[in-house]
Amino acid sequence: MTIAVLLGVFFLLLVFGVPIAVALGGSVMVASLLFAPINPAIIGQKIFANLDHFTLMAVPFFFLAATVMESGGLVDRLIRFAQSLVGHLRGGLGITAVLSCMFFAAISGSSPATVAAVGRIMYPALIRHGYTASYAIGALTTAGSLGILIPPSIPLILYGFITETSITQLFIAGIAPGIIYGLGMMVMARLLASRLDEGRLDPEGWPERLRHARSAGPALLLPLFIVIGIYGFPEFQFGGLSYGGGAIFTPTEAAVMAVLLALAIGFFLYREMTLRGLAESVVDAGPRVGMIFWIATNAILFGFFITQLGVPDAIAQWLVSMDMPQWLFLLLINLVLIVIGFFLEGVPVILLFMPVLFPAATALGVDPVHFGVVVVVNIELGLVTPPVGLNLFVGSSISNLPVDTVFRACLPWAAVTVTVLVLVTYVPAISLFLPGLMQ
Amino acid sequence: MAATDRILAAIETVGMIVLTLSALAIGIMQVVLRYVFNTGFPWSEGVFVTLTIWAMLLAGSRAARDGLHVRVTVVVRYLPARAQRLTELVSLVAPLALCCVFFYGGVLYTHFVFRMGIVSPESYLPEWLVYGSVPVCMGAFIARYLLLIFAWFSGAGVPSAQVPEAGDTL
Repeated sequence: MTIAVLLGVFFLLLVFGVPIAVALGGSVMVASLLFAPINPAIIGQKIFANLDHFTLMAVPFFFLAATVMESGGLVDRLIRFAQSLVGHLRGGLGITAVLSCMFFAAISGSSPATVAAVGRIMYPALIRHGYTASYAIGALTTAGSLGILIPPSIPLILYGFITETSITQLFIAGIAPGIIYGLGMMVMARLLASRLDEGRLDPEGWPERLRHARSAGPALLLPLFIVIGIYGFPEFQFGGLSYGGGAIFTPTEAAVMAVLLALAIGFFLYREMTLRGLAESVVDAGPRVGMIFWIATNAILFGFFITQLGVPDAIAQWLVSMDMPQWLFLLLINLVLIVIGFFLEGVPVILLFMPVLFPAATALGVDPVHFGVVVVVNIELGLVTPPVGLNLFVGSSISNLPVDTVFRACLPWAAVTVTVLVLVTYVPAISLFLPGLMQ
Repeated sequence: MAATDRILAAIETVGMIVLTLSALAIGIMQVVLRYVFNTGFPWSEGVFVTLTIWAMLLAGSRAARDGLHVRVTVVVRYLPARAQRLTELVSLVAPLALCCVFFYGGVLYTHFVFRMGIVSPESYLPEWLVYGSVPVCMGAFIARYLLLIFAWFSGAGVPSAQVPEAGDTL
């Protein structure tokens, strides 16, 4: 009965368009008031305690690092570098758009941020060079979803936080699928361009390419800095020097240092960052993270309540008792997450469903790191499917095209997402190879 | 109403900037002290976390004004205009009610730790300063939702970030 009331109130509030965070917290309040009263003081304590985790603090600072980098003149340089490498090929600007998204994804943990940052510059350039609006916005909107797969990734941090999986391992696991996804998108960019009569750029010489590489170098160092920081160097002995190996930073410390590095690049190298720009970056990033924290504290309250009721355990036991093979379970998970992705954004998908699905996955022997990558690729698909695909809205704002037109433009590109999803789901080695190698 | 909104926005903005940058400074100091000077302060991690939570809860209140709190509007958008107006009111009153409960709980717990004189073992700060974030920030949320409800009665709709910009949720 308690579960029925809990879920009933939750869905009722959702249907009324109440913020998801409030639907989560509100349903717990109603159910506890009716069946299992909680001392209000404990609720007051839990609102803070739910967030009181050092790991979770990586989210605001990775967000801030990306915002600071964007204000500091990074995106333009990254795009010019990518263009100098592949701009002269058939479909070169399309491939440039994908490569730029990959570069920016390695700095930003956010997909809509990637679409917005790269799209604002690349969309007009693509149109100017004879690419169709459909090609241009399809490429940018779908390739932008790489932002959450290539580390750092906000969803992977949240997944690690909720499921107590190593965020370092998750970040490393996202690299290979991210590169495969990016390469797939580049192949699609080339294939779809063969039907167009687009203008090609003149090839640039290596001195020019090196000049662009030097200009974008500091920005490109940031992802390297993050990965080396959170994973460290392997153990080595060289002459009198010895290093025991291991991580240099925690992911949260890496996020803080990424902000510092981004500020140093923006202030001293590119000279495009100002104190006012820094303040604006905080005010820009803050409310978006504030929304995530508000959902997080309510989702943890919700998770705590359903765990007390034994729901996740019961679901896990039920699935185990069905003796379901792992491939079938993963197929069902994908189908469920694709359907959920139509209606919910990535943050609530992780915070709301992982407490229920994760115990079942581990009970059936699915590797937690592998499962995390599968979940994130599903979220990527959700970002380009209506009615709540955030990337579609960003794409629509960049191109001034209706959301449904942007969605249709994304369909051929989404074939790559689905292929990557199938690969990542059924070839766990793609995700687990690098973490295994580094252990 | 406009003046109240401006004052609240100014408090949120200054709070977000000061608290976030203070947390950032402490975070950087912690890393530099540990890895460069092989030393550190035992309170730094606790204070870093406390400041960040304060900042982000305050930022959550600003997100209410900017319509950034994620909602599912699939059903609502197919309702007749009058019904849509009513659901808008529900979507403002429900958060207000929840924030009032959290505010009350926050006041009770903060008062409790204040009376007990407990000091946080992580941050070495008085616990009332740590847990005070809940009633203060819930107070800001309540003020925000009251402003939005007043605006609704004067004909405005629910704020909604129709077109997310760079830096959005994921």
